[in-house]
Amino acid sequence: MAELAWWAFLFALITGVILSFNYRPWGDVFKSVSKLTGWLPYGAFFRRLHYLSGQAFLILTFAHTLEHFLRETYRHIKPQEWTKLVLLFFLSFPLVFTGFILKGDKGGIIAGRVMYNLAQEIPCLGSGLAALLLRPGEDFFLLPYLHHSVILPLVVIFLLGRHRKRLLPKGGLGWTLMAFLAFLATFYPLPPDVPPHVETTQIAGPWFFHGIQLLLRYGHPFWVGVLWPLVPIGLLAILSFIPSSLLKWAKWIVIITWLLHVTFLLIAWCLIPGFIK
Amino acid sequence: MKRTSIISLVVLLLIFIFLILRQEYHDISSPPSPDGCVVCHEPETELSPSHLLAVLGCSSCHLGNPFARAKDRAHMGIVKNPGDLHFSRLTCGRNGCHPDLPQRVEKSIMATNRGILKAMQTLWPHDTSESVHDVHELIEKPIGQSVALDHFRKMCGGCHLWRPRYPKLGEIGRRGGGCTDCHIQELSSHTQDLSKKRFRHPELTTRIPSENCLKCHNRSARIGLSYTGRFESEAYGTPYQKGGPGSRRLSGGRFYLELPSDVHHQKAGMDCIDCHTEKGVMGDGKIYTHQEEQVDITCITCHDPDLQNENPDRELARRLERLNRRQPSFSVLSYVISPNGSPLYHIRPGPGNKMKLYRKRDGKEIVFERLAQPEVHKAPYHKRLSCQACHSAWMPQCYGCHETLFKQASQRGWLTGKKWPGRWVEGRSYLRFRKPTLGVCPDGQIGPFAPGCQVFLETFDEKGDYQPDISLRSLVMASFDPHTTAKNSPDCIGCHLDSKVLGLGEGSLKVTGKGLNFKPVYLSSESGLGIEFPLDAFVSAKGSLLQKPSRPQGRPFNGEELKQITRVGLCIPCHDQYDDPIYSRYEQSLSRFLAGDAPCRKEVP
Repeated sequence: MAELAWWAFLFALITGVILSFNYRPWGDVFKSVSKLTGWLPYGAFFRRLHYLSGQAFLILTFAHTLEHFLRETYRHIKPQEWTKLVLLFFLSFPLVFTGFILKGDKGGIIAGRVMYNLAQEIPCLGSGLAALLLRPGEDFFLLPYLHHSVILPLVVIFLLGRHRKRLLPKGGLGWTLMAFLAFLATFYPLPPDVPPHVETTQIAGPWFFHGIQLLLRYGHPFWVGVLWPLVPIGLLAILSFIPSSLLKWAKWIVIITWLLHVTFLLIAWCLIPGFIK
Repeated sequence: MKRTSIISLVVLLLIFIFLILRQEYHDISSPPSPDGCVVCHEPETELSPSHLLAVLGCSSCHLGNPFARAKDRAHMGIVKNPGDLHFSRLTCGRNGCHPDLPQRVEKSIMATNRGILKAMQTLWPHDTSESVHDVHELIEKPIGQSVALDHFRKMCGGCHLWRPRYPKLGEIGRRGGGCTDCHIQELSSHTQDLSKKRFRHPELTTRIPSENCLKCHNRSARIGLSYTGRFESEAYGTPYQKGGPGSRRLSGGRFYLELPSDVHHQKAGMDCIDCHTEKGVMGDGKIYTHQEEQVDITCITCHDPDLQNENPDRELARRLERLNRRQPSFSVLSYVISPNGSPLYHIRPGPGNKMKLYRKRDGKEIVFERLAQPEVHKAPYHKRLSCQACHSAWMPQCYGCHETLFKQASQRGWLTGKKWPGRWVEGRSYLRFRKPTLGVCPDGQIGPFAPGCQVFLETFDEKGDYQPDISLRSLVMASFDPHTTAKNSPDCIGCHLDSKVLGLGEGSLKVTGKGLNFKPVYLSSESGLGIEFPLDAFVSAKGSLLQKPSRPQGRPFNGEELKQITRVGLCIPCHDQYDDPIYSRYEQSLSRFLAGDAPCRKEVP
């Protein structure tokens, strides 16, 4: 699973580099993405492949973490190795989220604002952290671009430690994954980019954010937008530090929090359509 | 290598071959415009030299998704009319283009209609809980019970800049559209067939033709018509032509008569934009309630100019001059400045005591004289007279505005296009072109007044029963520049002893020792209108107010002023020159006259 996730990351990295030749995180970003997708030779294909390999990386990292969680690997390996795995899993979310912002469409802009505003809700650190994530105004996309294309990939490469002993991961199902993603990228239409000026009744964020998006309608942004998503990840990360006698309980708490997240996600999918009504 | 890897590689290879063969991905030559819209849409003409398609493309103005291949994606969020004020901040007003203009225009009188709304909400039956300040606020509000706002929505709301453009024929289809309302050269056909690749795009212009202004300014005060020498006449269609109604028709089937047009139109062929500045029309960013607060020119701006203004906006003047390629360029910047500081870059000092105007639309040079005859124009006893008071040749006057609301029927509103109960039927008593009535304008100057409006409102409920409690008489006289400027002005008697000009109405006026004796031509008491004074009477001979002024600060002449004006009128038959010595020491001369010492008194038996 880890090898497949490494493959997916590598595809995302390569396609991202290709796209970056024509992507500009300033000026009319929506137009830049529109041109990249609709006009440049193979632009649409590479954008789809980048999108799909990013999603595959997220899902495969999740599957890899779940696999080790179910095997209770955290009991046997060094705590820092387990923390690295959970951190890698955690970072796959902002990696995909910043990519969502960089689309430059209505959804991307709103996602960026949500990220900025949620960061500001954090007591004491809020405004400083928000300034590190995004800068409102003309440079709106610059920091998300920096995070998406430089900082987060470098951290992911570092965290992939065990699996990056070779330049390329082991073959195996990697080529199959690549063929599958390429096949999907050829025929799978990306969701439409909504021009930034369009008045919409509803905009949905990345799929994994829908549950939080639903809760944000009812709860305080800090509790439901910042703390609540961090709880299951945090609990997962500290598992290897918990005494063996309490591990059984801790494991069940982690499962319950994750199931709650999945439940909210499923409810949100029923309530929030993928795109504008 | 494992079998699965080999199969996967074969699949990958097939996909790449497919991609290479699939034309959609690579058969794209370099685009002829900055965006991909021209693949399907190719305008036959350019918009304007400063809005070249090759530079701006389509999406800079029309938004949408300029490089999407599928029609539904490409057209998502597309704006057919970029000038529409609902979008203009994103289109015309985007950064790097005209970022300050939409905000100014949104606050301008033509967009807010604040004056009309305020007057109607003050004078008509209205529930103050529904009050609004401007049109945009009214568009957002649900339909209520206010009769005033119902009338505005259904009868007046067709002329404002927030109104979207509708694909309708005639004048209605050309009105509205925000920036586009003024800044396009109208196409002869308003319906464009965009299913065809090649089509005619409307041209943008800053040399706005007067026809664009006349789309709206041909009703109410009718200044657009008057300026071009047209008077909307009664519906008889006279004078007949070939045994039938005349062929001189306006929009809505209205007839008109040809009268002398404004001298600026008649002699100089000037358009509206030759006088009215961009700030005066589009606003300066401040919210005004009345148009005279926003308009930033007066007659003396050009005819008695202050060329020594120390703070002219030279940069703006240069830019405006450069943008209008039909204007001659001068190395020395010397031009007229409006009282609010707008540079009238096309009006410059001429030889001697003359001035030069370069028409904005074609650059033609017009030479005109500065204010002459100081004994006339600077006479101290006429210092309160506005230029329009003497130089307006005629004024369209629409008497008796009969508005009837039938709640049994429905009518469509202009603002939303929706229909709801309540149908308005409008009529009038009569129309006249006559010399204006004079009175004291809100700014304290004496200027022309005309009915504006004399409302006779009758309301009938859902059962067809008359509702006296929401029916009313509201007779108002308004002051405005009729735009019928003539070089010559009436003689002295034409004002001092003319009952119509004095505000008494048409009739016979006698100045007696006991005061004014006036017999009106029109006897309202016998007309069934329910008023005791003539429709054209602003004030009684004793100086009592008969009709309300449209502004609290405006008024007709009071009793004392009427007395003074008519008293001078008795001297005028003999002393008809401005430089007559009796006028330089008028009070002294009058005392002598009353004491019987004046030479003329001795001669008169």
